[in-house]
Amino acid sequence: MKKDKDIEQKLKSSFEQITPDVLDSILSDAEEGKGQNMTNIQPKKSTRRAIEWVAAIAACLTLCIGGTFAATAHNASKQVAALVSIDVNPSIELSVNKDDKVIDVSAANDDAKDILEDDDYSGAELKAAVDKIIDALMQKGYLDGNKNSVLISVDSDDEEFAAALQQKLMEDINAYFSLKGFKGSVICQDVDHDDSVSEIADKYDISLGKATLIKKIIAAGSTYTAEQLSKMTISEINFIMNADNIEPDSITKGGTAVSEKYVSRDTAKAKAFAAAGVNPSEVSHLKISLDFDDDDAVYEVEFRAGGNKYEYEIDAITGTITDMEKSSKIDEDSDDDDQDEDADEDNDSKYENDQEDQDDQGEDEDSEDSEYEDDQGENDDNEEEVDENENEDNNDGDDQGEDDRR
Amino acid sequence: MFVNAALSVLASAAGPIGDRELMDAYIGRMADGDTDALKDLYMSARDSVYAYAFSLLKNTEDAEDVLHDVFVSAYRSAAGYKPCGKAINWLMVITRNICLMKIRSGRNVELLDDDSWNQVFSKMKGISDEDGLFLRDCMKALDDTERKIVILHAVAGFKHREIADHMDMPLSTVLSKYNRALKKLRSILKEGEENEEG
Repeated sequence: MKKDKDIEQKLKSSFEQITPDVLDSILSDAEEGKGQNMTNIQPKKSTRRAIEWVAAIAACLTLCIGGTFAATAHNASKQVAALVSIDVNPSIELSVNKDDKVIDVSAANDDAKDILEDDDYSGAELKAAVDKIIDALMQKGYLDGNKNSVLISVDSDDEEFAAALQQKLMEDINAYFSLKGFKGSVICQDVDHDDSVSEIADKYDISLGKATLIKKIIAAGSTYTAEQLSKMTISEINFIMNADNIEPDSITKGGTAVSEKYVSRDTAKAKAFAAAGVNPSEVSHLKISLDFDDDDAVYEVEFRAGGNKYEYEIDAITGTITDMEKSSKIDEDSDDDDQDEDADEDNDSKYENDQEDQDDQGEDEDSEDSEYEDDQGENDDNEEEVDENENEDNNDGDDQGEDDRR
Repeated sequence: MFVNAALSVLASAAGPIGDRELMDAYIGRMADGDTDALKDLYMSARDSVYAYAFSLLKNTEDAEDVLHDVFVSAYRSAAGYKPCGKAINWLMVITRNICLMKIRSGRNVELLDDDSWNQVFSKMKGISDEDGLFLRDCMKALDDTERKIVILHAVAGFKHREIADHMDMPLSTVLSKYNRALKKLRSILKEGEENEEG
């Protein structure tokens, strides 16, 4: 398959071939008009009214010129200073100006349409708009005692503005939660402008905010894939972060994920050991993951003991065992990363030695890494561009100021 | 012509839009009346301006007029440009404004049917048959917004975020439209290759 870069290059080179050469006429017209006011320009095959030229050129000059062509107050109030996305499961995006006023609100998925209905948010204070949205999320049952987490992602070129906005939103939402006597959890973060994030967002049709969180969680060592995480609500993701002690970089979090609904990992583990009749000290190669399939949360517990391999599925809400499998001869082919270690001998004494890595941290990490690399691998093509963009973004620190003047 | 082509290759080698700082310097010199700088800017950005004008107007003659008007206009208004590494963005805004004037003056930019696209491309000069067909199929396959986004990114070297600013759209929309467009283009290229092999 052709890579995106190749396609882009082919398009560019095609346009290079068809672009006509009009340099001579440009030079002659430019020379002719030297010293003229730009508004007197006579465009080629001129059929246009001078007044339109004045308007057009004045409009385009504001792009890079400060002061002289200051934007009107109206334009400034329409200028987006940040994009704020609110993810629960409904995903809502608000564009905000420098004065924390909402310019526009959009529904990023179908559930969000249900929340926004036909309400007009434009011109509202961000705090009032967010309170109203949170209220609707609670009213419509997207936030309740079992699902209590909200993800707030702020996307702005102005880091200081973004940080201040995050803090304000965090405080506002927490205050609103306590006003309503609701034990909620708020996760705040910046949006990553990384192409691998947009790839995740596009592939699974989720917001850039949620995609950013997913990328951070995987980078912080979660065993879940982007696909699995994309299907979860923010409450489920938040719960997993707590359960697996995942602490992604650069997010701030208030409150804790609802955990009453689910039995703990330790309980799940203990149930599985008890059902297998094994002593925890005999166990090796332990792996526990919480999966959310069709709204059913299930712990999958895998381990080895006494030369047997056990796999249990435990309902995460009731704590009952829903499925189990025991294989007495361990199939090396399906084994994980440490199979090399085990390959030369398949006997009990070997497994006893393996007990040293009882918690299997190393094994888990390896498999996580490989999963993550697989995901990244698909984006190789974009990665060069990511770096390039990041560098350029750093150089473009005045983007926002300039936009204000547009 | 050969020199132009060689310069164009050099400009592409410097990056999708050439060196942004270099373009700032050209405009600075243009403000002092240096027409060599205008030539340099033209060589660095002419295909971006033409491609973008073409994407907006879907007509080669009009795009050619706009190409002329944009650089004359840029030369005249160079003194008002404040160097900020955004010369290409500035040129694209001028291009869009001039195209909008064309549209307001009654140019038909409605969706073209297959025959009209064939007609547009039959007038194209200086392009190999293979690339011409590829370009025609790409332009045909994309809708108006996708076409603008793809050209701004692939030809003018805009970052997605810059496209979002330029087109006044949420970044997420730009990204999803871009990815959708690229999917279409990948399948066109694949079909082309299969036909060749067949």
